[in-house]
Amino acid sequence: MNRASKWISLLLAALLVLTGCGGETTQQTTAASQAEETTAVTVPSEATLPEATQASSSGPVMGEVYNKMIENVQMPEMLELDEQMQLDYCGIDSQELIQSLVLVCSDGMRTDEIWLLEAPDEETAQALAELAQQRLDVKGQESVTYSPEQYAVVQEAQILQQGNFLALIVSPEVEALAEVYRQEMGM
Amino acid sequence: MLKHLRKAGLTALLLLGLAGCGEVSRGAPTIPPETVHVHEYTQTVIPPSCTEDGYTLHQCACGDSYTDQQIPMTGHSYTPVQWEANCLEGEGIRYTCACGDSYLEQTSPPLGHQYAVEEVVEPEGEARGYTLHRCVRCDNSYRDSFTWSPEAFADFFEDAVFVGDSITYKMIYHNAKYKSLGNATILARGGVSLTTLVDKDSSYKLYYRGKISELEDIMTKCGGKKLFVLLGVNDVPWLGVEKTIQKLDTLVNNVLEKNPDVEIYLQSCTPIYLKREKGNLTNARLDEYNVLLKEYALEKGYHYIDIATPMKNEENALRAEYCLDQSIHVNDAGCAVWINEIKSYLYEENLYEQSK
Repeated sequence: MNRASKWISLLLAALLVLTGCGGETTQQTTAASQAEETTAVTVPSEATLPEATQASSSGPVMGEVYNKMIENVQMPEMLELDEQMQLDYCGIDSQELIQSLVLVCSDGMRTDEIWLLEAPDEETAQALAELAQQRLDVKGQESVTYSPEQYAVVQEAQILQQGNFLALIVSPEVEALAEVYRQEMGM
Repeated sequence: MLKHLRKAGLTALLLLGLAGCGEVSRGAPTIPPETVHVHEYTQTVIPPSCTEDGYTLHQCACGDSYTDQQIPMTGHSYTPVQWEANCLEGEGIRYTCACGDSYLEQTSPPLGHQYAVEEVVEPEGEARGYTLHRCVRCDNSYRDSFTWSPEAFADFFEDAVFVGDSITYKMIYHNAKYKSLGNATILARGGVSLTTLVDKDSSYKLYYRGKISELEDIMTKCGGKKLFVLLGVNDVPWLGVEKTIQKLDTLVNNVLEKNPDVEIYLQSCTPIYLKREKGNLTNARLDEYNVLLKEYALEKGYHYIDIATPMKNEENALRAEYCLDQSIHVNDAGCAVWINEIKSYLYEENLYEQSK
């Protein structure tokens, strides 16, 4: 191989690395619906990180990311699910994850829900993406029968996955929330 | 000589006979004069009363007695007194006898109690709170509005599973916040019904740990030993009350077949907001269902908890202060009332003590 070809090959390889091969971002998007006046809940940045896993996280702290996301967004009262509730209601085994922050709207009527997860590997992250899609299917089935308005919110939800990180965002403010998430995660 | 012996023998025989050797019939024994009792009666005159005759009582120290000389009863002699109305009696004339007997000729009805709230006692630990009402006139009192602290009986719910439709959704979040049902597993799905849960052709089941599952399988998986059911509002309007009970029976039997040790707690359907009544979805219809539900529970030996009555207003509808959405869903205050009724039931049936 001549010198030019060698340099071209090197350049191409560098370009491939810079464009982030190995991570896939999947989305389900449509326009956000109208926001309502609600109270935002700020989550402490280490709220859900067990001490042992904080050191092994390779990226941002999910609590901090969440706080950034809701900084300029009106949110309803959101309830942070503990480990047991994450498992029972969402099927998320947080013991298997590096980070897991899961919040749902606590009024029992709105479908707002946010997952911010860091898996130990990409394979687990992809499995979580499937779980998130299943969760959306269930929420969609429920809301189509008793709340068309909430059904529309579920239809607009986004699942964002890159590398070991996954987010599920169900909210009338999905676009704004997803935008901040992407920024914080360097997507 | 022989003649003397014969005479002596005859004399001896005669003497022996006279001395009573063997059985000899004689006359009645004589009793010394000092052992014969003669009654000595003392007399007491017992005067007549208003309702009983009088008499003279004759009594001996040995206990023997008799009466005579009866004196007829006197009858009551009433004195009339003007009577003011009070909580239990109306105004009128009260006639009183010296013996204490009296009666009232009322000319107006009683006033009735006039209760005022004297004190609200907060619950503490496993002691329930209450509101103390006392009559301002006569000191009569009663307690109601019983409340329980979040920690009361919390450990009773460790192995409890609650199953319901969208009404139960709020309970998930209420309990996450207040932990009034401890670590109970609360399963809820909007639109789920007894029909969808038992119908083999329906895929609209419960969602638990990332999977759509049958209730009986969830009970097995989570090790639930107490099942609290709040279902029916999505069945009664279109299925009717009797068929809804039949569906419930199927659901419970499915659970017990796989989990025979589970205790069943059936909760009455909660009332709905008055303006939400439409067609067959009415509070009257839900009341019919609840009556049948209670009968079913009693027949089968299941628990029945009336969580509906305390949520109702004077129009038999869901009180506004307990309603989340001017429809059928309850809010945090409604959940608190709901949990109060459950804990009151556990207390009154002594179930918490039995479970320890």
